[in-house]
Formats: sequence, C-alpha cells, structure tokens
Amino acid sequence: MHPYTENELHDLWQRLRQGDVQSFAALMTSQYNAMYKYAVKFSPESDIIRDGIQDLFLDLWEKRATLSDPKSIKPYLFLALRNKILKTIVHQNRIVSLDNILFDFKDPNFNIEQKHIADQTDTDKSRRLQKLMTQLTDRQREILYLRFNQNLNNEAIADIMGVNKQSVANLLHRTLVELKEKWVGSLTSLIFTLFTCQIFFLKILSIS
Amino acid sequence: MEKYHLYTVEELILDESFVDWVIHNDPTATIFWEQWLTEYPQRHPTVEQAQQLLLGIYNLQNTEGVPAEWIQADVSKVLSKIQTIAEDSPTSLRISWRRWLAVAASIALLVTAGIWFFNTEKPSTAMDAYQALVQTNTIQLVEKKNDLDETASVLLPDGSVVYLEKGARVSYPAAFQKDNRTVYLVGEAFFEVVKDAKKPFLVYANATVTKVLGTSFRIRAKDESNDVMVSVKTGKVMVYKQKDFDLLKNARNTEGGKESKVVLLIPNQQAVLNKTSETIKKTLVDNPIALAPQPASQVMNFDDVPIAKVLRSLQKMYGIDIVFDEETLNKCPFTGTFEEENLNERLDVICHSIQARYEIVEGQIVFTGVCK
Repeated sequence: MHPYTENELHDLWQRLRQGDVQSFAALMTSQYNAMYKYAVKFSPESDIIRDGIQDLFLDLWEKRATLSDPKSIKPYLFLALRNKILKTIVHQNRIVSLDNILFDFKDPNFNIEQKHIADQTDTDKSRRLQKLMTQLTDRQREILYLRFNQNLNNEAIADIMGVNKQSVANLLHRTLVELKEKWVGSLTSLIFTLFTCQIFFLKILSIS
Repeated sequence: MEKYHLYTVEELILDESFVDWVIHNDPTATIFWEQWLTEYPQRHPTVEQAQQLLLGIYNLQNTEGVPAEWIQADVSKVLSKIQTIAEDSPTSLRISWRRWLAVAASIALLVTAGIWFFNTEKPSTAMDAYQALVQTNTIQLVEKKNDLDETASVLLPDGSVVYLEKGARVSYPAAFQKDNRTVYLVGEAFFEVVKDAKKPFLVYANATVTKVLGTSFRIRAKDESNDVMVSVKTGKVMVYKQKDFDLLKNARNTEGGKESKVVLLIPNQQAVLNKTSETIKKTLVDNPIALAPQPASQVMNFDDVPIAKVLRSLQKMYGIDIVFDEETLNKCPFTGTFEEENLNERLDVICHSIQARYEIVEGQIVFTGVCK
C-alpha cells in the first residue's frame, strides 16, 4: 500500500460518504498502522485496540451519509480513536477523570535501538534521555509523539488533544528546551562546576 | 539559508526541513543541510546536539507496525459486517415479520417516516466483493481476465490451472505465500489444483471461501447472480461463508464445535450459497460432464512419440505456453497414456522418463533437459 497524499485521502473520504465500499476499505487499510501505533500508547492490549479500530470504521460506514468534511482526515481519525480507546479503558478501570489516562511510552515491545548507535557512550546518552522522558508529563510525551513520530502539525495536535494551537506550540517549545538543558546541560554544567571550583580554590590560595 | 545560522537546538528540532533530513532522510533536505554544514562548519556542535536529541526522542517512542495479516483480517471482518447489514435491509416490501419485529425498536421512527421502504442500500455484488478484497490486499496481485468467447486457461505459480469462462477474472500473487495459496475469483471457473498438504488452496468468491489441498472443482460466482455455486469433480472440497472462515482463521483457540460452519463436498456433489437467505445447500451435480473443462476428452495416447510433439499436444490441450528447446527434445521418444491426470502429473511423468525439469515462470512452463 502506498501512502496516500492529503488530496487522495480527501477523495477517498468523499467516495466513502457516497457509499463506495472500495474507498472505505482502502481508507481503513491505509490508516490502520498509524492508528494502531498511536492507540497502543494508551493501552498495550492489542485486542482492545483492534476492536476499537474496527468499531470506529464500522461507525464511520454506518454514519457515512451524515459525516462532516474534516480539514484533515488523519487527525480526525486519531481524535475519534483516542476518545474511543480512552472510553473503553475508563469503562474497564473505572478511572474517574480522562485527564489521568497515562500516555505511557513504555510499551512491551520497547527497546533502545538508535539509528546511529555507535558505542557505549551513545548507549549511556540514550539511557539518560530515556530517564528524562520518563520524568515528562503524559501530555508532553503525547505532543512529542504526535509531532515527531506521526508528523502532525500543531493545529492537528490541538484538535486531537482538545487544546488550543498556541498551548501546543508553547508546551512543545518548553519541553524541548527542558530536555535540551537537562540532557546536554548535564555535561556542560559538570565542566562549569569544575571550572568554578578551580577558580575558587585558586582564590583561596591567593588569599592565604 | 541565512536564518539557520543563529538557530538554537530547539529551533532546529522544530524546523520541518531539519526533521525531514534527520528522521526521514529526505533527499532534498539532505542535500541542503550537508551543503549548509560545509558553509557554516562552526555550527556543527549545535547541529549535532539537535540531531542526537531529535533522534533520541523519535526512537524512544517509535514502535513497530502491525503484521499485514492483522490489517487484512480486520478489514475483512468489517467488510463482512457491512455485507450483513446490507443483507439485513430488505430490497423489497416482502419483509419477514419476525425479523421486522426484532429490529422494530431501533427503526420505529424510520418506519413512521416511511423511509424503511426506500432502501437505497445496493446489496454488494460478486464484483464488489472481489474488488474490495483485491484492492485492499497488501501483497501485489496479478489479475487475469477472460475477454474471449471461449474458456481460457491460466497457469498459477504452483502449477495449478484455472479455466476461466467468458467474462471471469482471477487475481493471485506472483508467488504464493508460505502457508497458503490464496486466489480471488469473480465469474465462473474450473480449477485443477496441484496437491500440497502443507499449503491449502483458498478461493475467495463472493462471500464464500473454498478450501482444498489438491483437487478439481468448479466455482460459479457471477456478478449478475446472488448465488455462489461450487461443484466437485475429484477430491474433497470445503466451502465456508467468508465471515465464518475469517472467524475461524482468527480464532484464538480451536473449538471442535466450530466444524459445523463448513460444508464438505466430495466428487459429484455441489453446494449453493444463497446470499439473500445466507444458507448453503448441498446437492448432487446435475450433469457430471458439465464439470469437465474443454476439451471434453483428456485421454492422450503416445507411442514412441518425440517429446517435443508431446509437449506441443499438452500446450494445445491446456492452452498454456510451454517453452523448450526443439532441437534437444525432438530426439527423445515417449510412450505412455494419460487419462485422468492433471497437467502437473503429466509433466512429472514426462520429466521422469527423460532427465528433465520444468519451472513455472510468469504463467508459462519452461522445460529444461536433455534426452537420457
């Protein structure tokens, strides 16, 4: 399956609204992987995710005559799936607030396999980054995921997460600065500390 | 571009072109950034930090996709459910009262408005079912269509032969997968399937699935018709409704009780699936001769005939191209009689008698060998 462009997706969507089974099947097949990879962050249980995706598309088909024409198809599907999965989880676990749902990036298939991993220093660095990512909030991790792993722009992310576009931009920027300072900064702050110690020490020597 | 030389690490990571380069290895972006780095080598440390941080963030949250079988299975499940919904809505005013009562609660308003009787639902046809499966298939398929007035034969990658009637179409992968041989049919065709116990042969035709290991049978799944018919010439054939088959395929535990969902046919039996009533009826074939593909007689008698001539006779009988070296094979004589054997079996006998091998390449048989 080749990845569809935005225009091609819109075409499929229009034909789906008119009751074209093939376009419907093509839409589901082409979006399945991305939707699954996103939804699995909320719950590692593949059955829940698969059922959720099937129910979602079945709903789409049944309501095809009354479907709206979204600006962008992928975020529309992501939002619908997010709501569906969270509802299922809440129903299962009886968690009270939807805001408490974990966007947990430690899924069972997780392993640190960097693209350019070279040696032990790289492994240490990525382990340090992993620790830093654990310390982020769920919303921060979700924003990073939607932006860099799913290639969505701020507007789409805002629609999916139910916040406004500016909040997304701000949180994204703040998160990256925070990660940069704590990850890269830990090296430089060490050097800085040694440097100031040295100066301080010399000062003490010169005084005495 | 000049703006980048003042960019901080986070500003680089937020730049679309930078991400295209680092994560997606986009060729245009790569050329730009590598060039840019040669012009601004002092920015190398910042760029490297941005690269590493971005890749780290990406990799830590990157997960594998799902197996293609999941996608195909789940899409099929939804398509089957859609068909069920379509079948449940009547196309005429003749509604079974029992069924109507069962859904009355949810459609009460529609009935009052009179919308119920104007069913705009087009029941999906054999062609719809075929297209839906073929176009959503994740493997590349080859399609053969018979536009001629006579039956046309198609050679499948495993040596099985499909005789397509006029207007019929069959789609199949260029090479069969590891654990099954799946083909899709619309129209009418006769199948001669090579035996392979390890790889069941599956034909998807208009909401039915026919499963065999190695036999010959006919399937009629015409676009104009609401029925699917399967009749058996040799061997054993199992016929399922597609949605039952999909459920079985994905069953997490095998339950013995599920066997009742399949219809088993032996030679001279046939099954008819009626899509409206959703039942499969088993009967005997009316006319055993109708099962045989053209030509009617498959008996071949050879007495000291050069192999080349034998191969040309086979080519003529099956309508399949056989490629071989005239020179070397013209000298070997062959003696033997073929009656009920299928194409594969006949080729095996021929190969055995001289030291030859054959291969199936893109719908043709290629013969290599010399005379013993």
